[in-house]
Amino acid sequence: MPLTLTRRRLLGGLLVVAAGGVVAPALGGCTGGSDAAGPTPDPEEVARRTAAAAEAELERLARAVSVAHPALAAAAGAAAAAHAAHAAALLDGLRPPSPSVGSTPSAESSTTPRPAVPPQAEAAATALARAQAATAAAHLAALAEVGGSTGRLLASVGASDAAHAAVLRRAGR
Amino acid sequence: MTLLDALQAALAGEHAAVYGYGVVGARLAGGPDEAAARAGYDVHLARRDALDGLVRAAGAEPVAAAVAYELPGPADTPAQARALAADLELGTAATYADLVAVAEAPLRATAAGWLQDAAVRAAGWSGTAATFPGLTERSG
Repeated sequence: MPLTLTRRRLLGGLLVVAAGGVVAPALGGCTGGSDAAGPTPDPEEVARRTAAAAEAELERLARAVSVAHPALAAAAGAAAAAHAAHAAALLDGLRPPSPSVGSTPSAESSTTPRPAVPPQAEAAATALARAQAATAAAHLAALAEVGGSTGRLLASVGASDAAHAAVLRRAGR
Repeated sequence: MTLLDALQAALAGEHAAVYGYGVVGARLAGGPDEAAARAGYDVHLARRDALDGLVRAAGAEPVAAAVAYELPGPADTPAQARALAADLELGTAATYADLVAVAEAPLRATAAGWLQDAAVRAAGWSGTAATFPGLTERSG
């Protein structure tokens, strides 16, 4: 009997989880529809900010790899500089985001976790190359929504990411 | 720039790349980079044909290849030939970037894929990756 009770309790818990899974998207749809108070975000700006955040992430990883592995310092250092230039170009002309109350840029950067780098140089090169290839694919996918000068910039940045991934893979061998 | 202008410019770029890879391939024949030169030649030949078809589908007459092209550099040594191949790739990258700007969704992604391929091939030839491949106003 205690076993049945436990099973019943477990099933009840599962049902609650399942119901939550169904309800959550419905709620999300409601808030999305009633979000008329704020201005509708410009899809180009959203694409630029999303891509810039991914490039900043790649810069941190490339910087960490170049510090951890002297054999990869040249390739990963060049990649870090390129990713920084990508992020700057993507954010160029956009309003800087309003700083949240009580947080300074230095405090923010000190809380940003340092990316984990594999101890083997080959694995580190592969990890960075994989992240770069994934970001390149994301930039390519974003082109379904945006063209024009933003699309042209996104395509070039993605192509650069893919090229850096190729250089890293070669350097890691 | 109209879509047709961008397609014609990309086609003209492919004519030049096919010519250039002919020179590169002749210099690198029999060496360790022969296969890469052959692969680059084949890719640009196929892309030239694809762009020719896109221009025709747009109802225009495709630009013809020139008899000869002034190459961006010499190809007297294998190192020069590799540098030339990288230049050829980045030259086509510029026309693809312009095509991305004016093309609609499915063709836009195709052109971006070509741009990516050109940047990767250029890096394979030169050993370094361009920061803004195809964006001539940002000097690579």
